[in-house]
Amino acid sequence: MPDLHCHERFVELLTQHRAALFGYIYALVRRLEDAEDLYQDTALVMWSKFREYEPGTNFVAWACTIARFRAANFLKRERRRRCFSLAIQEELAALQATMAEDTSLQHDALIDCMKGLGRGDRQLIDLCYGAAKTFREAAEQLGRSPQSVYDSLSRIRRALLRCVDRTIARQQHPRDVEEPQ
Amino acid sequence: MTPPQLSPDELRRLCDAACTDALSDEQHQRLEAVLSESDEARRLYLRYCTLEGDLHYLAALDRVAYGNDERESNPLTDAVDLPSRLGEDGPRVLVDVTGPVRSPACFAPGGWLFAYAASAAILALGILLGWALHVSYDNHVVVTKKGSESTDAGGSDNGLAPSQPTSIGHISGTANCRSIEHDSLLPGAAVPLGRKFTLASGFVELVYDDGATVLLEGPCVYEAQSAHSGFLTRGKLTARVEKRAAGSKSGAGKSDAQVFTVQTPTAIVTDLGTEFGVEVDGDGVAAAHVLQGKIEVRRVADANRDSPQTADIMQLVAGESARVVKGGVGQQSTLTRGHFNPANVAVHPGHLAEFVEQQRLKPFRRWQAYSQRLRTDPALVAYYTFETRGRDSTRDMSILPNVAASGDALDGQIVGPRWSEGRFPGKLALRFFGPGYRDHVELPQPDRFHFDGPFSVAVWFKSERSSAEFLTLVAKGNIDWRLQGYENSGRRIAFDTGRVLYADFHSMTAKSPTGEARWHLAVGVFEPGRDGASKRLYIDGRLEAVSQGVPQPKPVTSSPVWLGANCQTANSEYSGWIDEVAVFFRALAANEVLEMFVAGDPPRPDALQPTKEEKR
Repeated sequence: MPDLHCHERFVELLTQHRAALFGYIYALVRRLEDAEDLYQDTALVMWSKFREYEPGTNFVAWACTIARFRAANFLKRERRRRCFSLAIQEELAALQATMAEDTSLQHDALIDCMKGLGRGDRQLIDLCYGAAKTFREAAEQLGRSPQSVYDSLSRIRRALLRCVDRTIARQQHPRDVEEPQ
Repeated sequence: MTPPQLSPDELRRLCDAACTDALSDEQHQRLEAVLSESDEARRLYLRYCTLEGDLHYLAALDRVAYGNDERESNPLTDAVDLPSRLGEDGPRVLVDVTGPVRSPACFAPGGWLFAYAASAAILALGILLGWALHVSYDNHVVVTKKGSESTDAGGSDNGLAPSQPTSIGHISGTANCRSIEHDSLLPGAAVPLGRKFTLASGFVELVYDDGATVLLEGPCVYEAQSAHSGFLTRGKLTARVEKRAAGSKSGAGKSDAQVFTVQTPTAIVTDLGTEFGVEVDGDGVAAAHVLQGKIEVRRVADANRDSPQTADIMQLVAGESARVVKGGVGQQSTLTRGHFNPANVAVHPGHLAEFVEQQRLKPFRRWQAYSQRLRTDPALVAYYTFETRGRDSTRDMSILPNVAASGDALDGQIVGPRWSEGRFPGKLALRFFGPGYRDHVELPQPDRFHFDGPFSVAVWFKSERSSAEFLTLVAKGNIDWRLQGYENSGRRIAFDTGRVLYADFHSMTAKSPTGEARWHLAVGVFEPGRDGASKRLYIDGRLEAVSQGVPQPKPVTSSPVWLGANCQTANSEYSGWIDEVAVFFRALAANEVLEMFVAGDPPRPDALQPTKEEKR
């Protein structure tokens, strides 16, 4: 069949694997605004090369390969930025491609887990992620020390990851997972 | 496993620091060290980074209910009209994102949601040709009727208010179409009044309810102005208008409902019962030509699109054409008559489906013709075309039929790989699943693949990423000859001959990587000579490596030939597809290799565009 609706198909694939691709880009550059720019840049290149993508093959692997090259160019320009070796970048890309399905499950589970956060934690998440404040800016706004905000964010991340794991396990093996006390 | 010097807690602390962009130099070094050594560490690090991205995304969307504001909206289907990054004058873009925008920062250019959402759409704009962004595209609707140019800024000639979009026809077919419109181009979809089509490439065929069929060919910008007209800002179309009902008049005397008009910035083309083409180039030069019947072309004297005033009028019959060329400053445009060869039109309105099918099958037919010729080559040892699962006589799907004159005696035995779609519609391939599966096809009678003289081996393949170091396409053990890729060097293909463990082993590797996701042809050619043998390795018809003075191997082994794995080497199992293999006891010439590639190269997604010859 001819390629009738490539745009729709591309957007569908991109949105389906958004989290995996962005996570990989973030792993390379570790700064939100840079990751956003690179994500857009990568998406544009992906679209321009979409005819080369073979339907049925691993979309995340293809996307991460493009992202890696875009990130390499970006990091070359930003010489002061610390970056990982190419071998690590490749390893991360390969691994993220194999974890794409998990990433999608984790995204759904995370939505549920965030509902279980306490009021203070929700406020912190809202401030640091929704309003894109750094933890230092958030600390200033909340009247707390930067270290305590940093520690809180660390604790929230670990709690969310544990919750995500439990949620997925419960969905997959409902009888094997005990509710935490 | 985490290296002993780094506890899981410390790894988590490093991940936390990385997520907040707070890694010290020392921490960065430690993180890099552990990531280079530990798969577990890489997995955890990726989970942290993906979580970080998800948190930004979800918090910015405010999609999470927080227990009091749960929404049922789908972040991928609700539409928000976002500002285009392409400038104030650029077209606005309808993008798929979750509904209400909570924080202005989220959607500000450079903001988080903007990055996600805009990239899903501006990428489409990015590929549109620059001209598309400069086209003035007001929402004017001009209804032109023979003999009475009229203007209707937003209304239609059927009396409906502009706010009540009505269907004036439907999309009857598309082919290889790339469009920036958000709206679907599904065949059968209604075409509302005022619908704009901005095609980067491909074809869209519209059927107006009044009987006109318009075939748009990208790149073009076209607007369905009314039930009987369209505005071609740029690009090319061909239109066919069904014959009038008996008793109706033609030309100026026709009823309005039976007239179909194409307006361009400089001309108005009105059908008089015909099939005709219209083209507008980047300079605004409009050309019209007649395939059948008769048309009328009028030069627009006043470029005001709302109220075009026409001047010269010219009637054309089949084989004639006319051009309207813009004049310079203060000068009028000119209308001139010319000739046109109807054979230049590749596809006619109403025949898109037929054209698509022809184009789809053309590469396959081309390959079939080549393949039929190839199998008569007297030097062909074995030829596996992968056209059928098993032999017709047995339907044994574990058999890979040999179609060379040597016949079923050299049928391959399939051990593991699965039948799959090949590189042409209707053609098959075998899919090999890589390390751990030991998938292979064994070719019988190893002695038939011993070569004291020249020989050539050709394989069509499409690789997947693999954890194996070597990717065997075809190998007669490690001693005789093999074509294999190296995963760690971009799947570059190597052609090896001779005894691997002895001095006469010779390996040559292609310059270019083969990568993933597309079909490639690898051909190894071995040709003995007075001063040692010569070897050539071709990838996709190109000579990628050549060696002279190569030792003549002395193959004496009884190793069988395997496809997809090497019977003597572990960690060499191929991941991907193989769909054609040919072995010759002669050296293929460069032109023969090129012909093999050209005949067998599968169609690309844009292969439905007419070729230059077809357009000629």
